[in-house]
Amino acid sequence: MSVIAVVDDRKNMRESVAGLIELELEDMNLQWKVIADEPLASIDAYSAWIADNDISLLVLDEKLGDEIGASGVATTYTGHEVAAVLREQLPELPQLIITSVKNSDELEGAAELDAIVQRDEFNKHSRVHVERMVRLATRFVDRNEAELAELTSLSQKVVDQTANADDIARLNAIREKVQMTVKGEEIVVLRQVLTEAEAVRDRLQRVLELLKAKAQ
Amino acid sequence: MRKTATPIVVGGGSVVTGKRAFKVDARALLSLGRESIKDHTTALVELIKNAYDADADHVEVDVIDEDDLIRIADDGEGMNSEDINSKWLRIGFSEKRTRRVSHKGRRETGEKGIGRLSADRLGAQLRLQSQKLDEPAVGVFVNWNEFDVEGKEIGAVPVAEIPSPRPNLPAKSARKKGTEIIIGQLRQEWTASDIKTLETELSTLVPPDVAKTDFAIWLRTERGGEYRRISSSFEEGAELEFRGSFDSKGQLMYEISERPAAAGQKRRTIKHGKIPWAQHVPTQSDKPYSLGRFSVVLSFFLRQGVSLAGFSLGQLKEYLDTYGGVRIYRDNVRVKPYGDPNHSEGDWLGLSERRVKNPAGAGRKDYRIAANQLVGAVYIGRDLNPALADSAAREGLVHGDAYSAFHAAVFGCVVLLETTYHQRFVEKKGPDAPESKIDLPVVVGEIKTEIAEVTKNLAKVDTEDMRVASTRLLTESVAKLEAVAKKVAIAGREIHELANQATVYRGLATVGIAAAVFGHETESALAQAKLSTGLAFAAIDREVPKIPLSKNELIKARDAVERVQVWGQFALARVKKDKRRRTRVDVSELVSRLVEDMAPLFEASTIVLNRRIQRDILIRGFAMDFEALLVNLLTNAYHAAKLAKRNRQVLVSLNVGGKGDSRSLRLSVADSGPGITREHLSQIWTPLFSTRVDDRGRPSGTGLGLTIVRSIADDMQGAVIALPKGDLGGATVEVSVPYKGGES
Repeated sequence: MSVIAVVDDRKNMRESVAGLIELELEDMNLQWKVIADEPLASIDAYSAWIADNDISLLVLDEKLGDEIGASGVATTYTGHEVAAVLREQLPELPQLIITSVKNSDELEGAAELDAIVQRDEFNKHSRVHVERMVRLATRFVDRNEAELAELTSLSQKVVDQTANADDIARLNAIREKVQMTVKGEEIVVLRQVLTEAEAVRDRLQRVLELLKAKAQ
Repeated sequence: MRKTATPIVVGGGSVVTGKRAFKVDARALLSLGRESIKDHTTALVELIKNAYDADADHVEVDVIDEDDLIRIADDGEGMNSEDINSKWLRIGFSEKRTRRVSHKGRRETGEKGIGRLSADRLGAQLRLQSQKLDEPAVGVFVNWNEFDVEGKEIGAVPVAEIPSPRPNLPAKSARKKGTEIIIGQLRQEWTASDIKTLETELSTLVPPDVAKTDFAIWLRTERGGEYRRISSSFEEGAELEFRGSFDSKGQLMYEISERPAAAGQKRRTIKHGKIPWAQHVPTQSDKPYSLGRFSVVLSFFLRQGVSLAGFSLGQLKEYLDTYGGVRIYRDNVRVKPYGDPNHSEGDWLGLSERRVKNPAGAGRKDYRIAANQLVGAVYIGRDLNPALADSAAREGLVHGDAYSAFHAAVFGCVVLLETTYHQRFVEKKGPDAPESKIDLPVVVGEIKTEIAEVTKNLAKVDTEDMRVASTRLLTESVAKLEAVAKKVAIAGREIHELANQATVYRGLATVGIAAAVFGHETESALAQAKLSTGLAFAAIDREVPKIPLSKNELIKARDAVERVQVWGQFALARVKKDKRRRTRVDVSELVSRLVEDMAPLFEASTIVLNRRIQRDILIRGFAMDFEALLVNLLTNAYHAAKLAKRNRQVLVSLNVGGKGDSRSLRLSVADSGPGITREHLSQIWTPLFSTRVDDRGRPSGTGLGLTIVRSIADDMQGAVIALPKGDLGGATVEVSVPYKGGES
């Protein structure tokens, strides 16, 4: 199931935005989950939070520090700053800003964002915008799932010892990428299996060397 | 939107490498050079920039219109035959793109590799001769018009070799290397005004400090005339000079020096110090400092009443009209348009506007420096200050958070300079004489009493000794005095009326100031109301209505509308007519109610608004004045508390202190914001002074709030004090007014 997350410092606002998205999703017969949360204490905490909650699309407010949330500390970063940090860490995650802020050079020039939607525009044409969110999130999930499938098959090759150098390079590339976006059981188990397999291989190697030494 | 590098699949998925390739038409060269450069001044400056990048110390520029030629000679690194072929004649080639810093450590200015094509904008023919140290000289001749042919390939146009080249290098330089460019068949006439523009451009091409010591430009505009050096020789005439640098944590270290009394003496440091970032720019105190190190030099000049050695006042004014403004240099190269006198963003600190609004003299605390009195440079670096990025859409820097902080930091330096000049001025000449303050209604009352007494005495004389005194004279005197008394009474009423008007104006201005601050809050409440009503409707208007969701959203919409309503009622209530009359005001009741009215506006930004109010404090005055006092103090406190990351609090206190006749009503507002910088403390009461900036770093406060507070306190014979760090950690402002106890 895909998850859309809404981050806004104003509780009523984020819950209403999430409510409207949920309603539209329901009308589109999609059983997706929408979560609404206050800004996180640190801008660096987002990528882990996104992985932990399996989030496939992030909706941000631009001004995040007007209201102090449950943490008791006002946020000092803005929505587009979150987007910039995440674009580095999770390059493919779709991100949108819904805001009342007008005429901001930083927002206009923010290449990190997939869309900047004025709040009034979102209210008026919520269906159009939610459909767009669905397209972006689906593309993101599909790409991730394809990579996950490839990861499983490549890992199998490694275990079967049929993987060549290209396979291993590709596996490492996907692991590097997926490690940050998906922290599913598969990866943890695979990593354990691989570690164990490497340990067994090393032990066998040592036994082989011992045998060779004795044979001489 | 970010683009991913997805390759295009061709046909069956494979690409066949063929024999096709791009070819370049000779005319392309003209569109890169002649047609892409704005004007001939810009074209010439481009060529001189190349000399700077080539590490030249001297550049000679001849613009001789009568000879139809332009000559640019530098003592830079020079080129050999291979350089000419592989670099100079290769369009689009630029070492600067990869090297970035010249051998001499200069941050290079151009990197597109087409600067040399600007020669085509200047004239049809180009002779280039160059000499590298200990290598044979080389020379080429280009006739740009030969490229102006349809269908000819660029490589097919020959570039002629100059036999036995001998570049004529700058006379001031002892170096045996450099480049000389001579451009002939000029495309445009060079008028006196063009030359003036060129001089201005050149003199601001490199910062004054560098121009004096490192890179000299010599200009000659008449055949056989003398070269004159483009420089900023007026710098020593600065009345005050500010030199400051911000370290990696934003702490400002500064020094202000003064022009010596006699020529030849050294400048004297009159003030220096360190100011932490949060104090220098309180509006940015909630954000971590991210600008990096940079420095600011501001030279402040007097345009009149000053005698300077070596040049006249007229020359100084001309210099200031040319150089006035605060320019930004990145790696020692101008970032346009900051400081450009004719550009809309040239006066980026808004100095002219401030000065026009408030032309007060230097004896006044609210003295403002004019833009044409200040020559300044702010030195930033591409590597030192990566947050100050170039805007892709227009000239200048991206206007975002970093720019706001940067703007506020530099603006703070100007304020420091202003304050220092005012202080020096007062020390030397004494402050402007304070206007004598009298309570006009009281004085009028006294006059009336005196007149009544005289009238009574005269009347007594009239009855007791009618025969002795002259009846006619006495009657006339009485009549005259009565007429005077009537006039005085009318004047008294007028004065009351004026006081009433002042009260109304202050009240209206206060509502305006508060509207600017609370406007954002109202806007966001309206946005919430719109969203929630829309959602409530959508939740019901479906096959299976979602009643709880709809109800919940309607409650949210109602609350949001109430918040807007609170603000609307609040604004209207402030200007009601009955508050404009001088009556007995229950200040305790008034303050309590106002705090209750404003609390929701504060709550919306998670600010706790507390009060400590002594009951039954009654005083004679205008209710509107008391409200204006409190609303202005609360508006400031709201803004300050919002800058706090946690524990946003504001406390309103009202009590009566002192004993007997010296009792006073005290109204104070404390906040948990960043407090007031000591440097700003003496300025906060002056009209139009504000440290508040908007999202784009422009001054946004009206600077009227505390001025109104002080004006009301003055009218009530009261006093105002501000504590930079009060009970809640931020500022506390207290107004005290004489209190006689339950005044009727």
